[in-house]
Amino acid sequence: MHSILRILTEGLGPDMRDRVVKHADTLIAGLKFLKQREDHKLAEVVKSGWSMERLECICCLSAFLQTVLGPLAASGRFGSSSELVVRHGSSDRFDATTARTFHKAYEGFCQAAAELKVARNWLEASRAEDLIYRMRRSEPDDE
Amino acid sequence: MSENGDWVRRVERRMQRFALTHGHAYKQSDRTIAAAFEIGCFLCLVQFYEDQGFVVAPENLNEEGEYRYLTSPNGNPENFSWIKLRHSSDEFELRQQVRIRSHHDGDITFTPDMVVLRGGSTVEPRNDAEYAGGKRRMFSVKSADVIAAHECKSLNPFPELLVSFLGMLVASHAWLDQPNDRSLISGRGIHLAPTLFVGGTARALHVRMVSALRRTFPLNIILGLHHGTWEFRDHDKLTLIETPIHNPVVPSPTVETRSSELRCRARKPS
Repeated sequence: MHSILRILTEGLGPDMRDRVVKHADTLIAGLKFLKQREDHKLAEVVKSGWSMERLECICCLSAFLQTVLGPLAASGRFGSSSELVVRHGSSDRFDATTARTFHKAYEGFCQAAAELKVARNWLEASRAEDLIYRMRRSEPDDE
Repeated sequence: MSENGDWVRRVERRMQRFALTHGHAYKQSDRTIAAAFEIGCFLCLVQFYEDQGFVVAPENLNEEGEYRYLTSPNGNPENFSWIKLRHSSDEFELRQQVRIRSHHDGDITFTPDMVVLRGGSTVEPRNDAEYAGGKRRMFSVKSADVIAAHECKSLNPFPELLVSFLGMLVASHAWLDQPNDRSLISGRGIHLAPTLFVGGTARALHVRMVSALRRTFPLNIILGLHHGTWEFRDHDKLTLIETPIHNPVVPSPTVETRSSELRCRARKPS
């Protein structure tokens, strides 16, 4: 497991950890395929300073955001969550406090990534090709 | 250490700090993370109806006044909370994980994540020998009572996911004369058309596919809920429908007839 994923998935259940790792592996495999194909867009990104090693790190960050933080943050994006307290099973409670907590975690992660010069919309890319496209353009995919 | 190695170490250190600060928030069980997305879609739909001017009243709350969220089709819906939606003199219900019995055939039953029903719809319990060995009741509503069935997918969108929603559209809605029946669509519609809520964002090709599906069929496909990159509050970008006229349809064959037929066939020598 990549060192970054080891840090981020510590404390998660085994199934969720596997999903994050699998998601990252899929993105990384996509990058390797582009490299094998001598994709010129990837070559441009690498030439601009984003080595394959760094790109793999971005894939790990992206997998964690999309698999863990995204779904949690989705639970508290709307005004109604401040009034309705939702009980799921015996242990889970979704209310305004949990909504704020999840939202802060999501934003905190994006802020941390930004400090490392990793743009938010790069982390939202669902495939390696999209990631490379967004990095080249530094804007959402519009091919 | 190389420049790359330095950068990776920086990322590790920064993520360690992030985990220390926010780990208490995101270190949730697999079940919680899975439920979170569906609950987010549910709250989104409740917010939509509030914005539409409905009186929204949670019903059947627990003793602490909390909304008991049903997340599996196995529970009795009457033991869980639901939302009463009132608009002028009309009433509707927003429920989760209620099985729908299709008007096309009584043996076509499935459970969308959320469904808006006519007020007072009957949730019918049935014993079926082929469901849980007949030991548990199967709860379902008729598709004739369905206003809109909605589905939530905490995934990145892909074409097969998007197009498969058409199956649920066709099977759930008795008011649909044919799949591309757009007769109920109206800018003054009070209901959200059947909607697929998707967590991930899409590339341009799939966004075009989403637009095409929305142009052709009475539905919505909302993307990017994980990231908040969509405009659910902007109702101009949503397909709205009017309340369909109630036209009860008896599905055929019935479960009992089909079960009887299968038992008869099983007895015949091959």
